[in-house]
Amino acid sequence: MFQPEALKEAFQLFFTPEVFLWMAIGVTVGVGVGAIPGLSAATGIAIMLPLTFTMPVAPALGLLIGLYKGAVYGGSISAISFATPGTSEAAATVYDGYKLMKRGHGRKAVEMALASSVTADTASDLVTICVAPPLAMVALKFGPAERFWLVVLAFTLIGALSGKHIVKGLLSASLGIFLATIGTDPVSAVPRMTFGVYWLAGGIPFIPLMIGIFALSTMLEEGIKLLKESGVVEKVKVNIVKGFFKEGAGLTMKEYLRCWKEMLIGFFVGSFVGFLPGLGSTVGAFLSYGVARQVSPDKKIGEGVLEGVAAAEAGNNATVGPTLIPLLAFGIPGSISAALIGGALMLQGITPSPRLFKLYPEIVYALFMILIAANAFNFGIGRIFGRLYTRLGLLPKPLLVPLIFVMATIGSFAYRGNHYDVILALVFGLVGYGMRVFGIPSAPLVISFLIAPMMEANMRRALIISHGNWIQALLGSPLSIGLVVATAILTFLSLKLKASEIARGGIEKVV
Amino acid sequence: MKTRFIKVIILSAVIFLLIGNGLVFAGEAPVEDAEYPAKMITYICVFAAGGGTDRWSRIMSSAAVDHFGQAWHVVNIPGADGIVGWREGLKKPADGYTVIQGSTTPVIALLKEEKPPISPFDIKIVCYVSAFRAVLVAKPDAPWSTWEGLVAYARQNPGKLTVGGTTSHVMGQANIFDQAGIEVTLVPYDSTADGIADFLGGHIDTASATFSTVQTIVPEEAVAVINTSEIPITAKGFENVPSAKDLGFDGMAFPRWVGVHPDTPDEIVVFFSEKMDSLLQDDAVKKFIKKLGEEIIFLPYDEAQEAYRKLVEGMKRAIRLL
Repeated sequence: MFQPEALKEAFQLFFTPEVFLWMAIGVTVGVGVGAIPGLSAATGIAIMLPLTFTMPVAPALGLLIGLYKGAVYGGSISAISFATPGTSEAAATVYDGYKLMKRGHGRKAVEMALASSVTADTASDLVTICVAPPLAMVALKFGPAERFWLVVLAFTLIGALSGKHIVKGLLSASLGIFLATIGTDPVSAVPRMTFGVYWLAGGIPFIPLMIGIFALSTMLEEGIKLLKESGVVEKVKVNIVKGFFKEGAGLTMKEYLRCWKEMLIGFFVGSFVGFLPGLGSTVGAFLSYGVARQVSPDKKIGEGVLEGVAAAEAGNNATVGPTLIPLLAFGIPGSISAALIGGALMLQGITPSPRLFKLYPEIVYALFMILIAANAFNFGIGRIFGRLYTRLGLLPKPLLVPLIFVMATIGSFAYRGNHYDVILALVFGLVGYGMRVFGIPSAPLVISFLIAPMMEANMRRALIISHGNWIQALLGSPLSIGLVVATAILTFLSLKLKASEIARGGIEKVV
Repeated sequence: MKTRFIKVIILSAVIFLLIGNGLVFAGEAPVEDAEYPAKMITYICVFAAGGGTDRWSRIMSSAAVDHFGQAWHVVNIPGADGIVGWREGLKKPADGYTVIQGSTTPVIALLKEEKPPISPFDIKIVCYVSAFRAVLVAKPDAPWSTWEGLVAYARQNPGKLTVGGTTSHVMGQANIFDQAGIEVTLVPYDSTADGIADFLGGHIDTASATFSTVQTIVPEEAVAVINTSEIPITAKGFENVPSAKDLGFDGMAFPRWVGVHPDTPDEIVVFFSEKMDSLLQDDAVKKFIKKLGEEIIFLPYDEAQEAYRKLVEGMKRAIRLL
């Protein structure tokens, strides 16, 4: 229920110099943290959290929310500039972003990432503000069976991400599923496929896999090309200074508006994924990217177009607001970052629970204001960082390739301070390089690696709950049946679309 | 010219390595003669930054210098459910300058392994700083919303009642249900939040969570049925929730333990335990821990070591039940 008095109090809490100062600091730190491979928004928030111990509630929230939003955007900067996603959310941005960078349109790509992030984020925040409690009720209807079918539905997108050769796409997806099964069984909690290696008991972490598959494999490919060239040192000497001060053209309003469809897809897909607990922004980014490719095959998403960047970035940022819905409505954090924001609220003596709207309406309204205002700060501060990083990305390749190689290796270590992750990143770098050589797309591997564990865990939970009755477990609710029908229709349409495109010869090689 | 250049490079590298090694050895000079602690203490949190254990580590480290006379350097070494950090701690000298903070998660992970890389007893427990209790919640109008109702329902419908929670939580519940002689279906979840979401959505009958989580949904959405530990809950509204002890069962609480290398001298362990007690009495620490919705449940080294031994033995039995 709307409370005008509380809104007035929220304005008083929000409109203070401290809130704006800490929000600016949060965004600045966040963009910097997010742009460093291996460091995520969660790491940044955890490190800054002690600072909030003695702060009033509104500046504390300003700092943490600013940091979170900045870090989510920061991840895309290094994804575009160096093919090294700073955060897992930015993995889908690499496909088009890095290709744009190589063609000298890095600045455009980074600004598109920022603009689409801010647009989708603001829109999803408004949705959160308007319909948080009723949406939370809908989210709870998605139990293990419904989540299982939702993931199956997402699997159909592998067709869209497979390029010309569906068999190679399926091979890549199979490898992703296999890698996802390594580690502790989600139900009986027994280690499996670890081959007796104890540090694999926790499974293969996504960050080293992503750094290997995206950054190291790309740099191996570029490095081998460079080795074949001669006169490398002389070229570097000439280009190093020029390269740093060179700046590509910025994003125009026309280009921004041209991507409206992809941003809209990102907004819907991201918001939907965000409000369901447990899926996360990386899934949001890949789903949005896959749907955009499916919907607009003529735009050649995956070949280095702004639309690809817009779809991926809008998809991951649109999850930011809705992940707070279960937290605000029930006290259940929908993501790690939501859990950290919940922790920050608790440090201020405000426990997220169904009583939150009743007991602390002014805090909830102030939180909403900060959510929206942080986007504006992100837009302003993010542009400055973006320009700086894209200049680095324009450095000559003989300098850039080893630099990225070192950054990616450090990033895989920085993720958990664990040298095993460096080994994994290097192994996946070789795997990724092999896949490039044989023309096997990496996107199906990444998406299946992300969603296969969710599919398995939810299916097995549904079976346990229904005491082994498969029909009851998987088709026991109208929502489940609806999702099955949607999957069948989407699969049929995908196949039909793919067949007609292959007939026209309109699909590019691989992504 | 080229050969001379290479020689200069090699010579520089040798000098650099010598100086570097000298610095390293100087940095690790023995400190036995000095009074403990004579230098900064490395405090290993075996989970990633941002989680509950990390927050405890950071809150306590903020007041460490006032009680230990030395600061703590909190290092997060996650991986393999906390075993990686634990192993890293064991690689350091047994001098009390490397301390490990863990929970039951790495203990469970070790007990599940056929050939664990270390034993759950490869640690000398310094103290417990807290322990979480698995509290079972049910919908207020359900026939199983009281312990008596739950037992009656489960006896009439063996295996029908579903109980969701993380592995630790379902283990705590399994321990009680086994002693009560009733059969339920345990549904393991990756996180408490996922289990609670499915409970609120009506997909499972009951859920098990920590007291701090449960208090966010009680009484509006749920009622607390049983506290499966022996540690009572004194918070308002939870006074009548029966504990394992009240019902005559052996309960199981899940500690946040602090430990050191098993070869660490006892006098260092005793010193650390006493200083931890004083640190946890610090008003600022107490305030922030309370604000996190957590409780300080301190057990000194002697009691904690005995409690830990019993816990590991109890967990071995509970794992078989799962």
